[in-house]
Amino acid sequence: MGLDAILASLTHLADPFALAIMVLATIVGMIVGALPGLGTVTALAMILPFTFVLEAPQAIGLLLAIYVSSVYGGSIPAILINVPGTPQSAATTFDGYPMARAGHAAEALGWVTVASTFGGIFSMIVLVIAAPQLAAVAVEFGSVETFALIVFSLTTIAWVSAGNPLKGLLAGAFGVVLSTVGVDELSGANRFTFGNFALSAGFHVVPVLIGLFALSEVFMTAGQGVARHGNPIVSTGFKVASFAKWWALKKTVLRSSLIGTFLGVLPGVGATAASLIGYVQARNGSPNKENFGKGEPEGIVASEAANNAVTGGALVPTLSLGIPGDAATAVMLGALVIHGITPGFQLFNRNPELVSFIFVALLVANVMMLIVGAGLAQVFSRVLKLPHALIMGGVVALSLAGSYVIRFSILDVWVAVVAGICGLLLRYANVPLAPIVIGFILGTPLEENLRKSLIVTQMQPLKFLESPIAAGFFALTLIVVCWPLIGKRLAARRKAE
Amino acid sequence: MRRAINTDTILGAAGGLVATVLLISSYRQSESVFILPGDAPPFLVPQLFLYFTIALSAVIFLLGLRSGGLEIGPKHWRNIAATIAVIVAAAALMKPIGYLAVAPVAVFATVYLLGFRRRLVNLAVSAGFVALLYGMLTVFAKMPLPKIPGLGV
Repeated sequence: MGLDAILASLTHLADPFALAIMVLATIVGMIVGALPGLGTVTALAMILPFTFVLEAPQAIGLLLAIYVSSVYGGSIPAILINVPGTPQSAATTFDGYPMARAGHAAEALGWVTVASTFGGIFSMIVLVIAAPQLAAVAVEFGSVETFALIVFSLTTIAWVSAGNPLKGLLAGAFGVVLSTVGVDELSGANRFTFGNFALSAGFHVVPVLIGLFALSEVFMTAGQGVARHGNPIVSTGFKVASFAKWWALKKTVLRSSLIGTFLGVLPGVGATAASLIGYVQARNGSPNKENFGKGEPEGIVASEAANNAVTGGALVPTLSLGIPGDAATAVMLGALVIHGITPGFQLFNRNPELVSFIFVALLVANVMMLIVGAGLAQVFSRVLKLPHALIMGGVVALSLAGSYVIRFSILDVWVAVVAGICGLLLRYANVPLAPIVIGFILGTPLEENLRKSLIVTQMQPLKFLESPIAAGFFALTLIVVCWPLIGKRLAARRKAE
Repeated sequence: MRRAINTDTILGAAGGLVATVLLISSYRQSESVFILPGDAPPFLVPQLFLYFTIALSAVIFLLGLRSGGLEIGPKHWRNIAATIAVIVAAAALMKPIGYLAVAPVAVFATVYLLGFRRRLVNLAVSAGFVALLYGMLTVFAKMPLPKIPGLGV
């Protein structure tokens, strides 16, 4: 990253309008993250249509601020009402709420905010170092290797996403099929349009996202009757512990940041697993083991540094390879493409200013999260008192407008409604929704690279294995799919012995 | 309201059925497509993934039959149906009668269905939020939304 590129990116951020957008996005992200049931992907999906009027750097800054702050925002209700705003903050309830109940909510918010900022900045540094290296490796990738990489990522994300792996794979496959609707660019053939001209352009990612994540949440809330949380809101404030106390936890913060960043880079693992692993590792290595679960600051710091470190980690494969690490980065990838930016080696090679801007914007987003979190902690506790039904009403208004303004087409509103109903039914059937989105976003490059590869190998797919990189990815895919069966066999053998 | 539903068999059957219909349709549509020699067929990827979907759906269906029903907890089915009806009606009416006419009613009805009974607050928030959003989108962001016929907004 050259000095010129850094200076250029700072010029973008010196624009008061761009900064104001990021501050606003940080607040919105924290609020949406703090409201149980919404979360990072919903926040990004609902905001995405409104970024179309912005220039690419402003839009990226806005989305990064929402991404980072919504992950942090989930920890606020975890501490104040014992309900994590996002699944990523589930581990924060273990010690955050007991600490708040003991009258130390302000301290708990202080631990959370600073740990989240540290985790975010740590992963940003890793992103700055790792992403260009990975992008340089990716330049060796032809269509066969890229196809194999996408198959590996998609399978891993679907397989490890949540619950039943078969349902994850089904969701991922369905997402790929959805991405093929419309006119095929290579042959001009109409695919699954059923004579409907409006479908020729295919489905847009935003209405699909709005339906699957936002509207399905409204329908889910309707199914639960009156939505209220039972726990009282603990009064709050913001207080940062002394430097000496932080210094005592330096190993935990670093370890959790490393765990979060590493798991963020891996496809499909995500922030929820990172925060839980960070928490367990901290508990196992702590001399105060017995205090965990009773309001131990180390527990809060461990889970929050890990889940926010995932943000930078997940952006490593997204920016360098164009392969998202989770559903949130899949939306970010979709947003970049919508704004005419294609991630990968070419991005680093041809547009270093934009890459530098992304790095600097991520740093600024993390710092803003710290400032806004510290300044508005009291306000967020009030937001939690808002009736959930009113918030869902806002989601309806945003969903209707957001899905329409994408292409000024009423068909997109219908797509969002149908996706919402499907999302509700799929949730009831325990089908994870993230693989649908990732399949949908990766479907186009997957198809493009497969067809190119077939043309190159004269329609002989077995020749794909002649590439050692592709063969390696296919082998990894096989290992990922077979691992649960191997694990079961090994466990049974150990039991027998 | 408490029901045990075998969601796995329903999912497997529905997934298999949808994939089969799409697969048959893809073969019919591919008959009228001209492919250049050496070019990969345009329906290759969807067909591959549809076969995969059918296979997965069959496995999920069979596993669902073996494992039995799944308790999905108490659900207010009427409430869900009514909320969906409100959103469907809003989508249907948004173009002919305008976003500003439809959205406040849809928001009000949804909020009411979700259990918020303070109607005046609901009315004020529904109308206020929609008007704010409309203003931001059409005036600030220059993104037009469907207008109320004859009113220009």
